Amino acid sequence: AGGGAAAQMGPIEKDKIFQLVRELSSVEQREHALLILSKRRDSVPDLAPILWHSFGTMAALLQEIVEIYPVLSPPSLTAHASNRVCNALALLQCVASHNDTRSLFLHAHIPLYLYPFLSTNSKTRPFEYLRLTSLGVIGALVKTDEPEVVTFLLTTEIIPLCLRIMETGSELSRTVATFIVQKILVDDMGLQYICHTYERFSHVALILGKMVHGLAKMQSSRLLKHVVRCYLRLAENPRAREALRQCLPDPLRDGTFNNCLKDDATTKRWLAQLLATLEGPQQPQHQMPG
Amino acid sequence: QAHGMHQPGMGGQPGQMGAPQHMGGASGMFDDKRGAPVSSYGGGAAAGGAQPARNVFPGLNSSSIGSIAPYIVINPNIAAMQPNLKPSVQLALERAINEISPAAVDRSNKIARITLQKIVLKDFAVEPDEQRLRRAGHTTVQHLVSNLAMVLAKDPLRTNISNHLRQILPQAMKIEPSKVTAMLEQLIQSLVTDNLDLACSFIEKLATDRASNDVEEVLQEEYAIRRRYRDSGQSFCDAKFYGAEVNNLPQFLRPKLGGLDPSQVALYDNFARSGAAAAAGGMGSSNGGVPPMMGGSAVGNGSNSMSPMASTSSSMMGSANPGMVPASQAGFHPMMGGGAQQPGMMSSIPKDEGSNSNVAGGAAMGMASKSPSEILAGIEK
Repeated sequence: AGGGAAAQMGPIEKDKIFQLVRELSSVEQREHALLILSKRRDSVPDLAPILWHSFGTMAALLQEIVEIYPVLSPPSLTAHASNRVCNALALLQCVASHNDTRSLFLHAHIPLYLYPFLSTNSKTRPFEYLRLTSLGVIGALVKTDEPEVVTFLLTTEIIPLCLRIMETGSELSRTVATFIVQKILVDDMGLQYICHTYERFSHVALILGKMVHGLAKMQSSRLLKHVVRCYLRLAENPRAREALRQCLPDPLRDGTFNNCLKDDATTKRWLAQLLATLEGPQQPQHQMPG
Repeated sequence: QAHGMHQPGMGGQPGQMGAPQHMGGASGMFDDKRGAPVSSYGGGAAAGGAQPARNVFPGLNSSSIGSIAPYIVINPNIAAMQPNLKPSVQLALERAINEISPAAVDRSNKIARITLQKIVLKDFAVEPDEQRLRRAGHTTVQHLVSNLAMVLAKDPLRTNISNHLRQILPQAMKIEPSKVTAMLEQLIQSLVTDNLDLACSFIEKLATDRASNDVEEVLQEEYAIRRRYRDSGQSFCDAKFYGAEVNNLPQFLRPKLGGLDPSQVALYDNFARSGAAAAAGGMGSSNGGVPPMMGGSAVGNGSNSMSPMASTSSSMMGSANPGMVPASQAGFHPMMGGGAQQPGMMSSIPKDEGSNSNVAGGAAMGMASKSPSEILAGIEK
């Protein structure tokens, strides 16, 4: 959320924000400032540039992140420590979302500091919350549909990290991870990258297939929406389309999700479009709009 | 070349994609009497309030892998039954370190170098004193690199040390290779748990030694520019980092013109102190009130999150796939490493479908300032 609709702040309020940002640089005051600022970040339209350009703030946020690394394995992250680092991540998400700071954030390769969080396995709540919040930062980046973001993500290992969370994560984490993969696929270079080798495609297809079978048992329309969108986009690549004719999971064909989709016209349309595309003639290269 | 089969494949072996597997923590018969290695300081919550105390190994020398030898720990219970295990353990540690270190050292340094160029230099954009920049650059990068190298290396080390021990120990103990018993597995887990910090510390040492050179390389030109400004009597300002956005900030949030003020210098010094605190147990209870945790042990509050299924399937995976885990499995660009993936590997990661729906109730946990569903809503908007 860029916060464009937020109300104009009076000078006192703004001074308070500046003061809190300053407190991020103080070891003693940081925890409290993290809490307050992360709560109010959406009501401060230009918090992101303040965070980025002020002295020491980004360094302090990075320090918060790397100091959690030692408790990732063996997993011993407490709820308190998880909450604290998630507040720092919330501020990074703010920087990742803002048009004036997104490129700076990418050029400094800040997302790489979050990847160790995404590769944790523990199912405890502090870890689930840490993964979900980290995914939220990546999600905020891809949400903008900027090729620059996709280029950056493709040169890092975010896809396998997302695929693993799509396979093993909680429903919320799966949804955000699938959203990220969807956004990468929607980008032309992303689609090309994933369909470039059969191994890449088949790994993505395998995980999507597992998710469909999982969803057949435990339905979630918001997750299904992203899964269907991923398939629909994959089907725009000729070779992937041929492969999907063979391996599209049955529950997508046999009406398993009719009930789940009855209030979601968009996803219903996407699914119909996907099936029509796959049942269509084998040869033509017709491109779907969008 | 003699140990060719133990080297990670250049292009990634088939079947290695995704992050490393967690091995089950050591449990059971060998756990009660852990031989304390060298000096294990207590306390040590740093700025994040979460740093466990870590063992320190002052004699490690990154140019000699044999310098790990004096610190190898073998539980007295094991040593009583098997007195001659140390050479085997050392061999397993050395092989695993050699496999994991290149990628961990390289990657941690690459990440920290960019942080130095984009974040530290930004904050020092109007600092004329190159010695201050040098000190901040080194403390920051050392702190980042040691933490990054550790987090990148730890799980792959755990997996690879276990796998090597699984190969080496049956021979050393004169057990039939086919007779890989549960007891041997427990013994291996105990040895791994007791020596993982040591192997990790060696890789951290390699990484931070390399960082010292890297930082100087990056900063040489920065030193020279500052000297040139000084010689010509101009006040230094790096315009690419000090534009209108900075000028819009109140004075106290900007890097102070003409030289940082003491509190600004202190922020960067804190990187050094928090690193030292983690090792030496400084600053413990000064904030957060998080009780200090003992590091290195898998029997802490993390172990109950490790389902028995996780350790079973990991060790099954290990024996079904005696090949060593290459660095590419450790999160180092698995998609780029030749694209070899074997989905079957992924399926052995335990799932708990039944409980998935309830796991991430951040709002219900009362933890978040922003609940996961809000995060999600924010993204989907």
